[in-house]
Amino acid sequence: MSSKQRNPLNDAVNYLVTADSKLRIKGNEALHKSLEVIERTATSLGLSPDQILQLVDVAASGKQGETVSKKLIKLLIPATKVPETAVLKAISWICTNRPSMTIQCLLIRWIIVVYDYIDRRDRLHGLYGLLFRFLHFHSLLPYMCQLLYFLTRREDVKLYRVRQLLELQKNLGQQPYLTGLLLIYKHYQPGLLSVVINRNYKSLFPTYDRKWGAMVRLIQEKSNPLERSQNDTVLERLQPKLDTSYMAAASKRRKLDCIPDIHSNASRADFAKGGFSKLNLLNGTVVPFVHISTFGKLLESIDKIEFPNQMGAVLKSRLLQHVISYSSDKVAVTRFQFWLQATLHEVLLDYPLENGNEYTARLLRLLKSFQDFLQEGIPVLDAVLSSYICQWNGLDNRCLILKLLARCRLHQFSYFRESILNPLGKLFFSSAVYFKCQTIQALTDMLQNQVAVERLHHEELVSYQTQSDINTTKSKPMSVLFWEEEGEEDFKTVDFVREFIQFVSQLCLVALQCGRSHPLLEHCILNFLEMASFLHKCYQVPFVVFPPASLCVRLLFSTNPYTVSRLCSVISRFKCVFQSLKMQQNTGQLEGRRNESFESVTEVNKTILCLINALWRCKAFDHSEEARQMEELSFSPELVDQRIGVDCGEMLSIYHHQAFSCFTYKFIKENTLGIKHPTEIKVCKREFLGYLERHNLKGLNEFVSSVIIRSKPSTTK
Amino acid sequence: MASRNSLQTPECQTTYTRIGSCFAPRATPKSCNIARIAPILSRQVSGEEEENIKALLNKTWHVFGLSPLYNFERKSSAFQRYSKSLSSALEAESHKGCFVDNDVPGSVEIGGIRGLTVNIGDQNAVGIFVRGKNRKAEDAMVYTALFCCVNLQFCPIPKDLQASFKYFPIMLASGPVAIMNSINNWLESQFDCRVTKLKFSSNDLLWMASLWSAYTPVPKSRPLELVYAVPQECEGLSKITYRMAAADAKRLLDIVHPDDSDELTEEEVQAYFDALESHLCYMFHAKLGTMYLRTVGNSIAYVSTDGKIKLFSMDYVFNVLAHLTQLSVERFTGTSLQTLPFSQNE
Repeated sequence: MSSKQRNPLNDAVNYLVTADSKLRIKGNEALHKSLEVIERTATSLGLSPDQILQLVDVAASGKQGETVSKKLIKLLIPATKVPETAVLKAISWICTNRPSMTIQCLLIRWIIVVYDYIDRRDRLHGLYGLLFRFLHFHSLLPYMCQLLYFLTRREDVKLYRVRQLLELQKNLGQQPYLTGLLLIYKHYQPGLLSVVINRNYKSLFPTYDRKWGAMVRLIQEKSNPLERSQNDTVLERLQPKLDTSYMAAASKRRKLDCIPDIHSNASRADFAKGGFSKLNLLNGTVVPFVHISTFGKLLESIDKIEFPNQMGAVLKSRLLQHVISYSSDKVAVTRFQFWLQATLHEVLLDYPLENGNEYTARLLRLLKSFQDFLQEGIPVLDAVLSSYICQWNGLDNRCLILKLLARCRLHQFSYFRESILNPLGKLFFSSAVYFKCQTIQALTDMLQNQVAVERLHHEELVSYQTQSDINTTKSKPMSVLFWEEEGEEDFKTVDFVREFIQFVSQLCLVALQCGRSHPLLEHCILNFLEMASFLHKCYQVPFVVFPPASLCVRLLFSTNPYTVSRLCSVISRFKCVFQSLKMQQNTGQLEGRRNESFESVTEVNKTILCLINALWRCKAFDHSEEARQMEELSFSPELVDQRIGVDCGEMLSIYHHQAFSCFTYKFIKENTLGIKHPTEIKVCKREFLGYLERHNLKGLNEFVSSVIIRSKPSTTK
Repeated sequence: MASRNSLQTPECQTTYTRIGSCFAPRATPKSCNIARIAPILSRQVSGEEEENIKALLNKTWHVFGLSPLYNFERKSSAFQRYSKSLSSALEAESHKGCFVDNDVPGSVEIGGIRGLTVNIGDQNAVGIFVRGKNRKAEDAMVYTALFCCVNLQFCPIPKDLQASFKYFPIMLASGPVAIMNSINNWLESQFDCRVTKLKFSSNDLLWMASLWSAYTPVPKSRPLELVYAVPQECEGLSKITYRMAAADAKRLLDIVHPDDSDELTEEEVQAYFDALESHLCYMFHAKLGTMYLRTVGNSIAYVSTDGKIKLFSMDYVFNVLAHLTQLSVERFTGTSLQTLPFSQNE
């Protein structure tokens, strides 16, 4: 602002300030002019802090009469900030009771409107007790409640103030402004009050001054655009967001949601207890979880957090999940498990028809995300699910149930088979192909989970339980949240994995026999086999389990080219794994004892031989000693109808195989070597292999090149 | 049948186990004998305890199962605190939107009830009493709830956490439904437990009827009463009540269960009920086996599938409560060897 423009404003202000006695209103040109100047400046640019300070005195004292005072107060719009002294002055004038009631109300309203822009509020907060006394005046009550709502901090909540507010509530009935103030009080001291609120209060306080507030905001934005953006959510930051969902009536809550909300209504740091616990809450030694709303606050009070009163709420809050994952508080974890056990029994097993599907699905979904967060299975969930799948129809919440099953904990295989795999198998055999695919997918995930995650947990628990008692302070398991003092069986993971892969392979075989080369089914089965082959490399397990050869050979007969190709790449990967294990054993990296993995080497060799014979060497049904065929591919060649014109040994070769017939056809059409018949491809097998590889059937080439050692080029027949 | 043990020495220990002690070996009912033990439990009771037990009789109770309560203290100061908190919770429910001070004593009394335990491992019972205005606008006890634990065989709380949790398998409650909901809610939020209605299946009722018929009836005792709900397809008839004199029922059971052992097996129960039903079928051509057994009662107690029970005989109170305790524990831990059959919606 240029000095020229300021001068009239300064003059106007001075005129008002230095007027000793009440000025005449009617016909007083000077007064009207000064008011006009002030109004013009205030509504366009706002007033400076000094000017506000001076004008507050004039307005609040009521010296110049009601109309002038009212007008002035409305014009006290800050350009930058409101000095705290001005606010204090206003309050002290109210204390003198000299200005009229309307002026007093207006002053409070002014403080509320410019609350965001007061530069410091400590001294204002120091007047809390004084401001509280003003609640007795009913005309000031709504505005004072709002001001106190902004000012209240944890240490201001005192029992006698609560009692006074309750008395007011009794006299005046339920008023939204009283409710607002009491809500803040309840937030800071949860155990002090009980309330049941059914409605969502959108606005707790009267909003008479919207236009005024808007004007202030506008001027602030104009003058301090940068600061404005920082101050955007000042009001929200002043008081925490009040969530009243847990205060709803009992019957309503139960119907909608079985998972409790976060609350500390029975907080241990209860005010009413007095004495020691009162100090706790004031000192901040114990922080009830309701006071933690952001991750930053969690980090500040990371060692003082008190869990909410109902641990079931952990399913709804990611912050609480963080807290529980690092806490070593067994009691809290046990509380959660008891609640979960009772709820799951009620919802899934005992009264499944009483609640809607969405109700159950929500609970299961939240459990799944909790397990994924923890990277750990919950024992109670495993127990309930194992009972549930015995009576499950395979349809309700299928995806969720299968995903939850995939996270179950490691147990001895006999238990596992009895409780989970057999019931699943029963459903598997009697259902459509899509259920089969989903189940196989779930079993693949289960295998991955058991080897990657649960195996380590299990080893840690076993070592914890077998620790000698000489060292009295056993170091607790670090990576597991749900653990018990004893009862973990000691068994070898390799046995489990072997029997598991055996079981699932048998399931797959039966499924393949039922469905004729269903591509999705084969895809899922191949996923499983690939997972089995990845175990050694990805998760550093010192063993490898080869699936039954019958499954591999069965897949060879598929009509899907990608199945055969992936099968070949899986087999070649197994070969690499075995070789790497052998090397590790030779260099002494593996632990001493004989590794059971090598017992299946002969089977691996047979399978490789069988596949390469069939696909490449055109000796599919060779009965020679050298071949030592497997039972699956042994039948006498006389059974083959000679009229086909194809040598039976060649029937499964890459150029005669039913899976690759489309590629064979295209190759013949496109080739430049003059080939007119598939059998003629035999001479340029390698080119055909390259052609297939260009069409993403890489597995074949990989397999052939790893198994066949190329001798001199002249003898490649 | 069973020899009467007048003094059941409380030496049977409760066994503790790990949570989610999972994967109970599933046994199909055909292959294994499911048996329940039915000795008569009673002991010397003092005058005050007798009063407490008498208060249970001749009143319809709703039965609830409770999961273990966390941070439940038994001191009288704690009881006072709980009663104040519960009274303000009840008042807050009745005046919605009004804030209520938690520190003001109200219409609720909470206290320990002696005399309802049998075992060392049993917790002493606790009662909640709510005063208010009954229908005649007089000041009376409007609502009563009792947490009991009788002859607990199997405690799901791990040994090292015994101090933090207290386990009351059953809660008997009697009073208006609105208060019942509020109190259940308050329990859940105060003690981090879960209150579930303990509904009985028809199978459970069969067992109860057989077990209770086995006790020697007193002359002039109530008859064995079975109430069946008729399917909706049969018009004009909603239920069938079947009454048989208690002495006859006992005689029939003795035929089925001749030996002196305390255990009653599944086959015996099934045979007993087949006999009862075939008798009615013979007389009235009504196949009871296809209908839904809804209520069962004799001189000892009266039970219905929606979880309501009424006790009549003082001598057998412990037996009934022990049986309910066992049912609740089985329901909670899921170790029941009888999985619930599909129960009809009423």
